[in-house]
Amino acid sequence: MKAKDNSLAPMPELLSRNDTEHGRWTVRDCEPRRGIPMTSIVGRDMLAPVQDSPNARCIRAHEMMHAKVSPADSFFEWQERKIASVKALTVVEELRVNYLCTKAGFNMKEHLTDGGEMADGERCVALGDWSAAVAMTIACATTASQKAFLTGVRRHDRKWGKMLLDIAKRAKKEMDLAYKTGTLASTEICPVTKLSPVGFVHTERIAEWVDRLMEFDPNDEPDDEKGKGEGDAEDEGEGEATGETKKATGAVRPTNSKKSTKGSEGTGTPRTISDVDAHKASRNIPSWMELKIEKVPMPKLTKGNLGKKRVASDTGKNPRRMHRLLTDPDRKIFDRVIRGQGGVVLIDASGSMSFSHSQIREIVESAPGCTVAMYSDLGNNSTNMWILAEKGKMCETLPKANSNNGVDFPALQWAIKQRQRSSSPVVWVTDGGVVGTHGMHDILTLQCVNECLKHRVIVVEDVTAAKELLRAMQNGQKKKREWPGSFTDVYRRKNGGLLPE
Amino acid sequence: MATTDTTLALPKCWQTLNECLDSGIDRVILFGPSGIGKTFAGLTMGEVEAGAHRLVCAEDMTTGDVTGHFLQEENGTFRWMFGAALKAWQGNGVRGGRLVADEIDKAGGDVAATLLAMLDSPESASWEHPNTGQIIKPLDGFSVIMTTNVEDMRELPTALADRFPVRIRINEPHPNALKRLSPDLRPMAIRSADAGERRISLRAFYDFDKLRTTLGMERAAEIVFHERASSILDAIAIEKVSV
Repeated sequence: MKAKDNSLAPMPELLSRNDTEHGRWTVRDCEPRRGIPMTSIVGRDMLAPVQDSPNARCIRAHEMMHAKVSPADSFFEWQERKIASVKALTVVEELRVNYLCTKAGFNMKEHLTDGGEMADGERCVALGDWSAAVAMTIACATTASQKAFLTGVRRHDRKWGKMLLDIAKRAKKEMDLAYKTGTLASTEICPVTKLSPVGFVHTERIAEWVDRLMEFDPNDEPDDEKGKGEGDAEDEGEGEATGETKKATGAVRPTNSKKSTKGSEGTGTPRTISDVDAHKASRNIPSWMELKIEKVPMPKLTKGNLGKKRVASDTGKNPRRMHRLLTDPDRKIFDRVIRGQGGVVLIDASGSMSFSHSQIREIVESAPGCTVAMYSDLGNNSTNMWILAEKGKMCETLPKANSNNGVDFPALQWAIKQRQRSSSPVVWVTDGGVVGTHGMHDILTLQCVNECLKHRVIVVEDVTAAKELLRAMQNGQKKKREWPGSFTDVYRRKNGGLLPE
Repeated sequence: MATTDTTLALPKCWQTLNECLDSGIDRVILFGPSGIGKTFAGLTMGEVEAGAHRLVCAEDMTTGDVTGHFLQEENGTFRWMFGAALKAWQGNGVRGGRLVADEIDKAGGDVAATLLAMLDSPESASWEHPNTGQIIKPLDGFSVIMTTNVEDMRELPTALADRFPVRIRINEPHPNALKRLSPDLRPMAIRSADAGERRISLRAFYDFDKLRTTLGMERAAEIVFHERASSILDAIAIEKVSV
């Protein structure tokens, strides 16, 4: 390595972006080691090695590429979209940056490494930390670090090594597809969502896939060979994209594994890691409209509300119902206070759905005190969600809707927040045709599905089913979800299994 | 200045200058990094039909450069030579001209004092010809643009700075100056103009642009940017990823 020379300091000032103002940068020298170099686009501060070595040059290029294409102060907004986790977004952004550096002519595959990756690989396996192994694989993909990391993994678990190599190849292929859209490095501001940089949408899309990969249980992957502690395997592939990832992973796909069959048809667990698929690359940012809520006047009173009610009980302090000592075989002479269950019913009022005022009344009567709301985007930037019933009151006439969806996910989030108590059911009436700003998108569908799974939202396909469900729940019966076909279809395509009931 | 190329938007700083000059402001300080066209703007923008006269301030200059001096003729007589400020006062004889005072922060004490008198308000500004005794006053239309690389206006003499309430920081080259450059280098030239110690001058980009057509990128960068060539070439490679 030659002596340090500040003339090799990177020049982020020269880079242009459409989403930030340019200005003076502070560039400081640092060690060429993972975790130390950094770039703050907002603070225009860069820490990068200024040594004259191929490795330092690749790190400088990496930091410069961050300055060129990574989100500036909008990262929080991307995070708040809740399509992918911060961890996944971070590692996929590393991948995007390294990929673009390679496209710009820097030899990342040969020189970008800090020498500690092999130990990292061994540590991940030793700790059984699959999530960290996936994250590191993605962050290292397309660089010299990848080979060393996977070698470290293979030393202790060849199956993991094979699965991670498959993931690295597929991640690279996803980047290839994204690059073909011509927007991978775009720093434009999306005119609809006002999000920037537009190129980060590819990071988000792939990060959503990485999240699912990180949640995958590697023990579910069937063994096709015994591989524990097989020693070094440096000669195995280091992630060259073959363009035949499915074929490449075919070797580890089970043909008649009992476990995988169960996973596929019963619990919804993916069959193999290769069944967990990324979404298709597109130029548009899958997004929702802003939720605009209106409370419709509610002059009508309905039966019951969330008020407390006393019921007979066989335990208690004051025997208020002494007469039951003679009349009740259970001798419930005490009182117990119970509360109405309440609930939230969210209705997709898009063109593909239909329901009447009397059906809404029946819903409210089935679940006293429940909140009922409907949503549909009318396309004129006006109200797109209406609260129809609340606290035992309901509207007289239904507002006109039956247009687009536009706000399925924000409406769902709103409905979850309206729960009267944590046990109150949230019922979502939808035919599954969720539509965002730019139309339907698997990412948006999966986002809704994940929210339903996370918050135990019950999905039914029409208002009648919702009414029956609430009535059954009121009587203490448990009801299963009726996932719309589009939900199960998207989930199966992306995760390889069935949605949990 | 010639009309702006419609393909290049006029940066805010230049828009502000245009607005000030169009509104009749006749005392403006332009400050900011060197080499991005402040002087050129002073000499050409706004009403300069009556002539623009440049006064480059330096420590060893004298008041003669400002107001004028006697010059000995071949026959032994002396002829009065007007300085830049008085030439600008008189303009074309009908309208006053433009005085462009460059590097104003470098003017010595006596020059600064003379300039104070020359840049006073038109009602109180006057000067007596040492030979003829004629009282000269600035004609209508006289304007002054001072330029400096100093970023903190408190470094200028207070009395002088008081005469120039309008101060515009020029941080981008004028689009017309960029027209000489190949389109792919223009955004970089704009960004590097205000990069502080790490700036690359517009003139360096002109030469790099010329040389690369015959010698190729690497050789041209070596000749023009010297030891910074590698960093600048890397930046160019990264910039090209999304254009």
